[in-house]
Amino acid sequence: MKKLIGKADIIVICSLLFLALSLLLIILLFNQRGLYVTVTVNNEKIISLPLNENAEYPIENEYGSNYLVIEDGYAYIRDADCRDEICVRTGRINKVNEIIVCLPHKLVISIEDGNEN
Amino acid sequence: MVAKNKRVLSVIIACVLLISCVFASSCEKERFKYQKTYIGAFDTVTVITGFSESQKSFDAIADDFYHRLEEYGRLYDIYQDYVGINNLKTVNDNAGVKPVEVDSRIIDLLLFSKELYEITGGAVNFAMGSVLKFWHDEMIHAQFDPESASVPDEITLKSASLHTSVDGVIINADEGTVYLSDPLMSLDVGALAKGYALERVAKEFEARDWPAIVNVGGNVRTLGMPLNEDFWSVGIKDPDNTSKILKILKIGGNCSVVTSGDYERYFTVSDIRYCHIIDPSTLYSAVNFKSVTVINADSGLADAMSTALFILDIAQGLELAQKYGIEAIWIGKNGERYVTPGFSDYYE
Repeated sequence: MKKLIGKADIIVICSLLFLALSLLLIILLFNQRGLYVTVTVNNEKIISLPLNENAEYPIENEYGSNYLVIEDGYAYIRDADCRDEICVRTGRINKVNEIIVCLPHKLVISIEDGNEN
Repeated sequence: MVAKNKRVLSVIIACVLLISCVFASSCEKERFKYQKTYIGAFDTVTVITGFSESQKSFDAIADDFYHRLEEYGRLYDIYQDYVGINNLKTVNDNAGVKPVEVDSRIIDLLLFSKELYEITGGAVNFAMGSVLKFWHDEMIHAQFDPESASVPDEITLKSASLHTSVDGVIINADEGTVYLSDPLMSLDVGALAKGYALERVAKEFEARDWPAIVNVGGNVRTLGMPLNEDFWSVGIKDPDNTSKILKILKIGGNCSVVTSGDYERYFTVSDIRYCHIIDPSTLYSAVNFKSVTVINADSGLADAMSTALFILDIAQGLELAQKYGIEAIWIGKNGERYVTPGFSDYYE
């Protein structure tokens, strides 16, 4: 009596499964490759910086100045010359769609996904 | 013979699977969550989060929503003139002079404001511009020169308060005009204009099958239900530490959450904080609470009520809230909290 599923079949099934899972993993990793810190002034995008690279970025324009810091996977405003410093008091952000706003300086700092869908 | 049948069968199965996959994916296009932040309308930040098929289609509908908000913002603006538009500033500039022909959206807002004046017992007074002007000016002055900030003097405020009667606001809905009979009075709709406009725009978008949540400077309005969760999550900030969330509310579809607080727009004189919400009965900043969060279907009502409940004391506030089906939470000056009976339905 012939076996329903032979050894060769199992090897083929396992290999295909392994291949499919690997491909899925690669795609997922590829999609999560980068979160970015986006700086927008007066509704215009100024720059996008990678969240995983430490950096200091002074933002200075006719509205005022804010000092952006990217450190250990977080973004925050260390210092600003606005009166209330709500942007400073907001603290650190690191998740997609989290934002820091400095209203008098028309400034929005946001975390965005590297990949556009 | 058997092997050949097996092969044919597996090919047929593969084809069926393939076809059904393609069919399934074209039947209901997957939607993803996007977010966009805008600065400008109503002098505040607007954050729109929603589910769309692509970044492009999201941007199109979110921008559309925001532009509609901006239109209302221009109409309800009391500080700036816009070419070709008679707005509230135009009405104010013609106080004691002549009736001004205005867009029906202004008529509707003012009729709504009159109603809210009645039901809040005057706590929300849209005709109090002459008093509020002194506070606004001081707020701006304090921004540029915090050291020299000073509190408006009592006599000045008292004489300004003689020109805050809602009876002076003559609305002619048929003609589409508004006339302020007292030359020294002016309209200030800051207490409810944002919420009212948001409600109007949101209603226009309800039929578009676009699940979204819009936050206009603390006025939150949901459209439909989120696609990835059972409820929208709306956080209440800790007034003492705005990077902290005190509570997360579970909010359903087509619902509004509005917060009034003393922790964002204020100035300080001799270590005393003067926030932007002025109590009509004292003519000075309301001092009962640090924040009030209101939940109701209607954004305009929620906005007006959050102002009223921030100004009134807890007993008056609870009575007003229950009378109009408002759920609310108050956070007092010493961190004490009060809630309406049904408020706990909105969090775990």
